[in-house]
Amino acid sequence: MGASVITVENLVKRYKELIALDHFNLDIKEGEIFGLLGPNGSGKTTTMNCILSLLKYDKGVIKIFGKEMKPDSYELKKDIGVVMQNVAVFDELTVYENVDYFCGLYIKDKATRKQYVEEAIQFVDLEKFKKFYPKKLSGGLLRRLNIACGIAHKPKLIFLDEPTVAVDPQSRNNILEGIVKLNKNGATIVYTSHYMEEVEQICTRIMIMDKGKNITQGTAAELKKMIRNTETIHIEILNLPDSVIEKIKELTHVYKVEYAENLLKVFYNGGKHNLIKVLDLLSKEDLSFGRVYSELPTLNDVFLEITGKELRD
Amino acid sequence: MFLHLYKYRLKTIIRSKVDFFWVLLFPLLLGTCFYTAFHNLTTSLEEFKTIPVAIVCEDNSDLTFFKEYVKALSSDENNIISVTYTNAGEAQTLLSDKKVTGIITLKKSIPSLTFQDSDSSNKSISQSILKELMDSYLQSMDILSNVDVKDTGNMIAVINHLSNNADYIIERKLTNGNTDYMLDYYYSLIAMTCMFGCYSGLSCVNGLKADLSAQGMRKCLSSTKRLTLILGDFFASCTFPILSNIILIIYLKYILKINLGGNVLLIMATTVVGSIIGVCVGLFVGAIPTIKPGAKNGILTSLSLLSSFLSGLMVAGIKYKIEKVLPILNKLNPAAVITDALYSLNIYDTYHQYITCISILAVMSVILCTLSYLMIRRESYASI
Repeated sequence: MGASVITVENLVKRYKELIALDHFNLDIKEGEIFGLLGPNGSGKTTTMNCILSLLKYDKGVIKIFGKEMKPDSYELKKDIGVVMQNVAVFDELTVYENVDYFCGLYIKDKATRKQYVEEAIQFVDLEKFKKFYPKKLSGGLLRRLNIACGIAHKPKLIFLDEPTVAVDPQSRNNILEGIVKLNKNGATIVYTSHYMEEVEQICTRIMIMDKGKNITQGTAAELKKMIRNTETIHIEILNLPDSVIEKIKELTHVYKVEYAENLLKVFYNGGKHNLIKVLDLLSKEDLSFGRVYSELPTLNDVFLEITGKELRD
Repeated sequence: MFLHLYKYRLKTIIRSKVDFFWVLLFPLLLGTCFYTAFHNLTTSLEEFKTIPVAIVCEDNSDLTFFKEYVKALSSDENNIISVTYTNAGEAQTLLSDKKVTGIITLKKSIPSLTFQDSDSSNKSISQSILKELMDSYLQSMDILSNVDVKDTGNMIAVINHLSNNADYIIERKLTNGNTDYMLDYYYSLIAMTCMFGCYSGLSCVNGLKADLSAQGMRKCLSSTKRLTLILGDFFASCTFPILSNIILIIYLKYILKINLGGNVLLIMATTVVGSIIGVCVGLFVGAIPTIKPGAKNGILTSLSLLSSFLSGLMVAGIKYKIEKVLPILNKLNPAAVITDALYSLNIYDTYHQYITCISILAVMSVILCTLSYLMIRRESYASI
């Protein structure tokens, strides 16, 4: 693992009586795609804004590349790129001009800037739309322009705050592939989202946040190991007798069974071929069933088990 | 870096349809409306055209005195009437064809006037003038007939004496400027255009503060120094209203041919300072954190229109009434100070009053600019 790119120690941020960040700690290493996962209002964006010195905080120490981050740390800011939740472009400037404008806030040399702008536009696949004004772009293309504006100056550390909100699946995949590509090109990524699938898909390490606190962190696999559930089997079945439910509960590795609205859910905490075993039992009882599918645990299950509520609550 | 910021900020302002309309198009349209409304009024009142008149002599009476009188009226110096000597029939045709305003018929050396019915105010004035001229001739002739003067030469000398009006009062011009009170409207229009710069000031602040816009947030996070960002955006924000004012002045002076009085370069210089104060007002209101973003636009619209109104945009002379009742208001109202500066350029031969006005505007700008800078310089916020 590389050197620390971001270290946050005992960060406290209050909005009057509300504690937005409660003695929050964070350590992000070079080359990571670090995911900050949590429900809305958990403190993800506040954490990001404090790290970037955009928000004042009450207590704590924040270091980026080993140096204390302050509002006037212009040298540090040169190596940081930010893609915000809200699209931050000018409606009166074309795609090219927008990228050129924001790149120009970091890169003074015209020739270098021109090259970087072209590369950024190419990276987000907007070459055909260079002369378009943002109003003429679809939501997905607009998000891509937003990303191009944030990364055109080739930063070493990139913050992406929910960049795929309100984006169609195809554009979302393009964006996620782009983020992985940026990481492969050497950038350390901090990615905040409340879409657990995205975080699981691209992040090398994940922190789950709630109420301004670090609930847990690790790789997706490590987080899933923290919980009991290893598999959940769903079976659509009509009029399931209680006696059969009791028999299912007695199967090996089953720790919980739910039956409601003609849907049977069987929760396992280990074991192999669990689906075959439960279907065998139903056949022996001469019960016919509809759709059957198996689900592996998600980060939502991790969050649910740790906090007692769902990520999307 | 400064030029990069300046260039793009100027592009965003010029391409903004709202700014383009209010700061550039609206003053031009209003100026055209003023011109349409006031121009006909002043030309009909002030422009004098030589009155064409036909003279018909019905008998062989002596026309020596009358011809001398007419000659004097139609001379290059006076050029009050232009005369066509003709017969009655042709004179009537000329009158019907509106080629003459009236017919003077001489019978026994006594002139009588014939007009055609008209509804044009300009023609009525011409008819009145002709009538006055003939009345004046008859009165003079009446005086002469009561004087025992038989020698024609002496008679002409008396006529000349009668026709020479003595100047008992010497007219001295206090100014070489244009004293047309309609100019107040145009000065207020220029002041209003300056004040509309406040919208550029507001969008400048919105684009700089992280708590007001996503673009502002991105700028705050960049590696460009805060002061450079502010200066680049500020100067670009001032440029557009300045350009709009210059275009407006060129339009008024060289296309509508309105005599604005004073040196045109100094008028333009005044609008430069005026535009800066307009932008500063927008900056200041925009930077006040306690005012909700939606309310700022309303406040600036009210401020710019009210200040223009109080400087005489809609009611000429309101500024002079305020000067009598509450003079401090005219000193605090930037639009009134701008109109004062333009007025003093037009009227006074010295620049004392002009410099005072420009100094007031400069001091106001510096104060508002400093206060605004103190509010927008920060890069870190308590909440976003």
